[in-house]
Amino acid sequence: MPELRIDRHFDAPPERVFTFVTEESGLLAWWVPEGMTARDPRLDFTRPGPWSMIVTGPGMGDTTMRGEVTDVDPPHSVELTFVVAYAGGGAPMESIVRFELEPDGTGTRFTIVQSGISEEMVVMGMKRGWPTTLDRLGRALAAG
Amino acid sequence: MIKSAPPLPEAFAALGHPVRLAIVERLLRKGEASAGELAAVADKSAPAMSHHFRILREAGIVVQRVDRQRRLYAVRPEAMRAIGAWSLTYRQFWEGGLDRLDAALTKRKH
Repeated sequence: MPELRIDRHFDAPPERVFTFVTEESGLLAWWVPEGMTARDPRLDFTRPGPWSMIVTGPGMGDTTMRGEVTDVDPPHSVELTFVVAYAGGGAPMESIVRFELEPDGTGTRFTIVQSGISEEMVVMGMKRGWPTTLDRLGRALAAG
Repeated sequence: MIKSAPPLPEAFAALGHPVRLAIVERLLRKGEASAGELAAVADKSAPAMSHHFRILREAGIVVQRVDRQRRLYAVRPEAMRAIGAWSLTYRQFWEGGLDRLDAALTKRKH
């Protein structure tokens, strides 16, 4: 599965952005999706080691996010494993996430790279032509 | 309102049409879009598009909302998870996160 790459320019220097992507209070300010709350956060990305958080929202069960911070290079990059387990069960989705920070004028270009995503396609009663459709969907996802 | 993941055969049947797949591909790539924007992508008339939107809604693949005069469509994350399209939910997670990070960086400047 190709990697997911998203980047954004921020009008703040890399050192400041770095605190928001490594310290717990900073991470909680942007990692929790709209309308949801975080429980039992253990988010210290300033050093290699385990991390975890439980996210809940109205009408949904607990989603557990956890992993290991594997590399920290202030204020340039952070690398971590990222495991998501949904309340409904099913195999947890594992991937690798990398944050990259580069000076960009007076601000920062912040890039998120998520790779190694294993995609399990659940197929019931595969019909002729369906594999092609899935391929197109996969390419659309990769291009997105 | 559909709250659960769509039945898989219905989801696959809904996607197994070139116009509907084109609609979903566009929504996956760039997010919510109006009926007009999607008609331009699919190069079909409004009545033909209504037919496809209805099938996608009934299969639980997309949701519709009305904003002033426009009908806006978006893919349902539950549907994408059910058919194994994990990348979409991750993209939405990160894009939303970056919006909030921008706001947090701006808010605490002063």
